[in-house]
Amino acid sequence: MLIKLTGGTVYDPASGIDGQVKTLFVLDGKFIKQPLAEMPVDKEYDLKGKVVMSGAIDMHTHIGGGKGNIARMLIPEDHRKDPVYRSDITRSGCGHAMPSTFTTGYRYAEMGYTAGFEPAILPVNARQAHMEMADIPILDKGGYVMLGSDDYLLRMLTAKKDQKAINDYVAWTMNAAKAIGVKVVNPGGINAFKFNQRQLDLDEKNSHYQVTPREILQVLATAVKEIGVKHPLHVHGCNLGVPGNVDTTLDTIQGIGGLPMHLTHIQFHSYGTEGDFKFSSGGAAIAESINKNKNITADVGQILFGQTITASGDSMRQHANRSFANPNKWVSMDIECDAGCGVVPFKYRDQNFVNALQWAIGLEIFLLVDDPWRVFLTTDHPNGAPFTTYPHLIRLLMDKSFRNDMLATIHPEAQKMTTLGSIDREYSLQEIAILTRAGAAKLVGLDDRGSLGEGAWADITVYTDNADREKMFEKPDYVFKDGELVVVDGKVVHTKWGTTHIVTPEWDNSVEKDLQKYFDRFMTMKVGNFKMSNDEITEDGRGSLTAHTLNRVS
Amino acid sequence: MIINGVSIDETFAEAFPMKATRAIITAQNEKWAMISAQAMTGFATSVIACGCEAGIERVLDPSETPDGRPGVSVLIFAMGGKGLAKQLETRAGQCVLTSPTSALFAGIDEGLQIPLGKNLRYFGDGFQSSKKIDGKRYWRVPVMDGEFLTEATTGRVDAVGGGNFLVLAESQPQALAACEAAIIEMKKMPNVIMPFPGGVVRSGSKVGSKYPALGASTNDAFCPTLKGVTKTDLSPDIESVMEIVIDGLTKEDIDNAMRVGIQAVCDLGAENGIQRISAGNYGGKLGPFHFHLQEIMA
Amino acid sequence: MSALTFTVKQETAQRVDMSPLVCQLLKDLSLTDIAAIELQNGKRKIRVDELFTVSGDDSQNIVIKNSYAKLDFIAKELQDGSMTVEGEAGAYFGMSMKSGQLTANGNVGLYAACEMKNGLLTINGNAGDFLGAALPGNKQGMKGGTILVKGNVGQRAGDHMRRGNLLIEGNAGDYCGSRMIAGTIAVMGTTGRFLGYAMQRGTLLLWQQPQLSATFNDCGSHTLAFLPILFKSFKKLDSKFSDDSVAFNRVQRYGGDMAEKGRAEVLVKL
Repeated sequence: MLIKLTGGTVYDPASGIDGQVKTLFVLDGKFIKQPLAEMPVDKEYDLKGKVVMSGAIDMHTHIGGGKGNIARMLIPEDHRKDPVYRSDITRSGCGHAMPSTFTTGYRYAEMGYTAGFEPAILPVNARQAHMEMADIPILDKGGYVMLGSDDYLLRMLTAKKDQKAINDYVAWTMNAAKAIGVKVVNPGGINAFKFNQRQLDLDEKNSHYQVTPREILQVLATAVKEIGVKHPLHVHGCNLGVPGNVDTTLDTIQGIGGLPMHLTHIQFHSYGTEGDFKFSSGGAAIAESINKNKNITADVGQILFGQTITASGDSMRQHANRSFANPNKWVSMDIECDAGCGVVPFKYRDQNFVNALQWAIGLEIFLLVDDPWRVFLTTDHPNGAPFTTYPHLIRLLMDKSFRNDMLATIHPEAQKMTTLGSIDREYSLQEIAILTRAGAAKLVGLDDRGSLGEGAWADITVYTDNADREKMFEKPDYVFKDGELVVVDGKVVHTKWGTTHIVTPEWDNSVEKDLQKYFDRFMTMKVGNFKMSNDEITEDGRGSLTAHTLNRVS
Repeated sequence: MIINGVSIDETFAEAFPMKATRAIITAQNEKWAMISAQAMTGFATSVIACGCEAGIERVLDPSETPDGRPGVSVLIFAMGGKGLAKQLETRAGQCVLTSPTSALFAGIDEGLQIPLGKNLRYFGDGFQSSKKIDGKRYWRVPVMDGEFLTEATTGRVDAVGGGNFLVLAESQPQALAACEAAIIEMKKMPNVIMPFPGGVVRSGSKVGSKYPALGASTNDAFCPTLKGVTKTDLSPDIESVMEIVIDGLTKEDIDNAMRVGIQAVCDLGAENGIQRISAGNYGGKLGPFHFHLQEIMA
Repeated sequence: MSALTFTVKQETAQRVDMSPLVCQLLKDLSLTDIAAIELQNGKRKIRVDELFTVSGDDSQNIVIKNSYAKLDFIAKELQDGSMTVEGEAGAYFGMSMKSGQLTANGNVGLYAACEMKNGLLTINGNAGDFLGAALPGNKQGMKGGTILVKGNVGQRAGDHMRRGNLLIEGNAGDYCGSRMIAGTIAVMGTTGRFLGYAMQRGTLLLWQQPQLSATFNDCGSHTLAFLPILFKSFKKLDSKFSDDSVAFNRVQRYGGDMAEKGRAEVLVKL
């Protein structure tokens, strides 16, 4: 099957193409440079005047794992307002804040997204998370395995096990959970919560294990680097949402000592304590620190106003936020001593001072971080807002006058506390393509995605240029997934199944001996059942695994 | 104008806008409803020092009360809405909530709703419960004799206070007898109260005083002992003057009450020592409501 | 004007979502427009005139004749008008009704009058489980108005009920008044197990001695002043509840559910 995409204006940062008119060829799902002369073109699309980018990649979105189902169960009223009916090619479900799996796939694809990465797969829940994501059509997916509050790691740290042993445990767990990265959530804090600590600062010791978050971050970041995983340690830091946490975050950046580290939903970690309400923006300080420290990357976790639901592994902070639950119901739980889970519905309101300033802080960070390759467009779906708000967010970034109009409508005290109005920067199409495509692919460590270059898989979105960027990005003319046309005019016309992206770092088999003992003594599951096999993802015939290359380990 | 030998002065009573409400107190029997109502409307003769003017309007038959028990309706008047609300709540709390077997209901549905038992409920310390029946909210407050049932709010309406007339007689007993006769008739009228003790006041006042601290003082023009030493309004044969003050929900209610009261006085007539009927006013400049005696009796 | 009447031609095998056929949505529509409305029927759509013979012209007075137990969502969010069902009704009968009058002259299914806001809903037959309850996962059930059931009701009547009157002439199933937040449920017949389970506030008014859980405690016998007022408010109903001979003000009071707030009461006629 040879497809020709003729005359589109191409934005492909991965190949250094910035808005040039170019004809692309796709052969059997992958880009080729030029077909052989005698090869017939099976299908040609005339893209003159259209904007062509690769398929967008959401590098941090909560689309799989137990907390999603808890969130769904918690807000049936939200689902009832957004029923999704079946069609001849799509399945029924429901939408809004935490859509059903099928709706998640359709709605992402209809916005031009072709991959999403679940950032918080508990190893013990990995099977469920992958099965849930296996029900998300069209998208490629993958996940970061969550470590840092698991008793096994904390025991290793208390026992002063060497870095090699920890590396083996991390690599073993990544394989067992079929992950592409490692995430740490409130390092050690989720565990400390179970020992009745209700907050845990960067240098505060877990009262039981005597381990600090700083130590956990260091060993895990080192492990991730030493086993060659390209995606840097994915860090949801300490003190999420606490006024004054900007200092903790700056300290976290310094404390990692130059190791690669990704700070996720950094907006929630950029709060000062100035002003009448003892709540202020730390956006500028965070952006400056990111600009200075080239080892750091960050996604924003922008909030947008409206009803949503927050689902996080950070049971400590979610427990602290429970009084803000709207509607008033929430869940906080332990999961098999691996970690925790907190689900709290939220309604962000533009006339609420804190919410309004959170909104402005997120945008400040977007606009003040200079290097688009090190900042990523997320709302931490569904925590800051459902992913369906991305086109609106893109417009806020690309259109200063629209942004300032919105700024003028938020809580007046919040307007005074932000420098947003004085920031002139407007993102270009190429920069958006970096944030949502090339940069994300590079950060996650995807070898052959996020690019329109030769050899890459043909995930393509085609938009009609429109000064209203929200309109433009919410309704692509065409979306191709692996060279197959799946969306026309913002509607799914064909469905298929994406692959699951993983890495397979190596480990020393001896690690399992101790784990065996630990599992037999403490866990509800045997080691053999804990580890996922490849078959579990592929045997139904629609899932597949794509293992990506590792950095060369020195 | 002369009725049965009684001269009706060509003058008028001057009255003021007030805010008013009605409350209905019921109890196990009329006796206890009346005890509670008397306490609630006690020390409420004049807004000058009592905060409100209140009185018992009438006794209610069980068929007329919300809970089917004997009851009493009371009217409370105050110069402003805030003052009225405060007086209502204080009096309900101290005199009705406390009174055995009592229950308290709104007597006026329309108008702005002001708290009746809405805040008294907190006496229940969390054990109180509410019922909304036919759009009205009731509070049930557990108390030692059972349950105090009270409606949450009652309606506040614009009203008129300070209608009056003066009975000028040849002797003190004759003046009092005439006033008593008037009060008996006036109490049959709806929507009015005569707030002074027994409905009769003997210390009518004028505006101002020789003492700067006082805003009002004795109405020397009508004091019979001063006939020779002040600019008197009394003829030599008048030995005693008494006044009846009326507050009503509307001007018409006061008109009607004054008419039956003055008529009762006149029915006693000159042969019982009644000489004149007059009224108190401030020259017509202070109060917007004027009750011309001759028009009322025409 | 005569009542807008929908007469069922033939019962369908699958359930029908009747929510489009409600007074406020039909206000300005012609008979032709109404006939062309498509109703969800299982996974297919069915035209109104395929399922019903339509006659009459007063859209504020709707009658559904030959109704059967698969017609769901009848009178959903009804506002102001009057609707009558001859025959059985399916689930969610009168769901979220806002005002007006709704009558079923037969049995109704699950979740009848769930999350009702106001108005008068009369069921002359029996009602299924979760009468006047909250939808699954929601926090508040019926919030106002009156439900009158002449027959029996299923389990969980008044689950999560917030306000209003639920009057049952017949018997109530298990868990009657469960998780009630406030309001009044009156049952003339018998009640089942777990009466008032996890009830927070509100009143269960009973004519028959119930089987009470250990978490309801006897508070003694009392004469309560609000009961005559409550019964007086039932006078306008066409029901046994309006009969003077059924009224009472002397009760045995049980407080509970002590496993919850414990501010609710079960009042049993003495």
